[in-house]
Amino acid sequence: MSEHVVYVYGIVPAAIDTTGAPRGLDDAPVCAERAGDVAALTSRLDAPTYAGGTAEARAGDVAWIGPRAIAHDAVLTWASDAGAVIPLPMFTLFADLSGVQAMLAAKRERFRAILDRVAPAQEYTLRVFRLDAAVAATLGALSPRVSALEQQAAAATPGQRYLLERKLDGERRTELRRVSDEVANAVYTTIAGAALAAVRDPLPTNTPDDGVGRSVLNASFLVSRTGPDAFRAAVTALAQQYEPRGFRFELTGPWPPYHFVRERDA
Amino acid sequence: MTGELESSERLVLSELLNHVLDKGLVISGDVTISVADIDLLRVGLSVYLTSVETVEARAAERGESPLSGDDRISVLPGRERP
Repeated sequence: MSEHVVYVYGIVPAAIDTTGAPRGLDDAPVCAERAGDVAALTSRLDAPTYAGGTAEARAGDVAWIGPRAIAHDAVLTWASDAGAVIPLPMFTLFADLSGVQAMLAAKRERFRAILDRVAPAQEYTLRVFRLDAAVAATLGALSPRVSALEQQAAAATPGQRYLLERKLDGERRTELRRVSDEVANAVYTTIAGAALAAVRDPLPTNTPDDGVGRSVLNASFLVSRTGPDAFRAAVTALAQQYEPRGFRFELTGPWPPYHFVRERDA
Repeated sequence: MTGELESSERLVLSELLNHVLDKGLVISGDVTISVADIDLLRVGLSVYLTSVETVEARAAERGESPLSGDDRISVLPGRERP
């Protein structure tokens, strides 16, 4: 095995100037390996640290992977601020630069098309959480069924009220899920309308109800570099509408277009 | 080490890991050495996210909503615009 491996962060137009690039993984300098009109952003790293299963074995260790994830993203964010970039996942490694050159030669046309598509935009990620107790407390405002039962219970005799309250408890549990799905879908559709492209990620399963809320939406949006204000305004309006109903919004970005460079995203 | 991270750093790292581990364009065929065991990565991530969300809850209790204040967007360090 060679002493070094070549780590590839992403693909950029060949015109990029790496003079101002941040340091990469393990504080290594970042270089552009050019082939025609595209280039790979690369660093030369020590092979024993990454090859032969070492990276796999340590990837679950946040103390090990954290600084490397930050460095990976810093390079791509710098490139994204400078222009178009195709992010590659962490740990895209080649044995040597000739391997990188062969890859670039084989996929140059494909890279060019993706770069052209993502050049005018950056990515934003929205996560929406449901705070069960808070949503349940105002559920009547979003659920006509719960609202009707609450009114019946309020007007009922004590005996009837007991039965209605039990029915209401069951109805609240069902409606909590239905309403949060409805809110997630409405939020996603509305915000997607203010973006060039949108994608939903699967939600984490079995999230604990520990007071921070259950994830109901995890979505990323490709937003025009000229239009982030309108996009942010759309998110803010929805947050103002739904946060009083017990939903928590978390928006991050701009990111390099991590979610929008695969073929299926085209 | 992670226990010493500030809550904002934890949030940033959580989102970073979400983005950089299994998103992006996968180059197949030509990669000589690759880390294919995404499952292992995800295990570490899910454990980590649990602690991150606990920190988020404490921040929320203190009224530090990422969407509160004048700039209703949570901007990651290094992502501020002039």
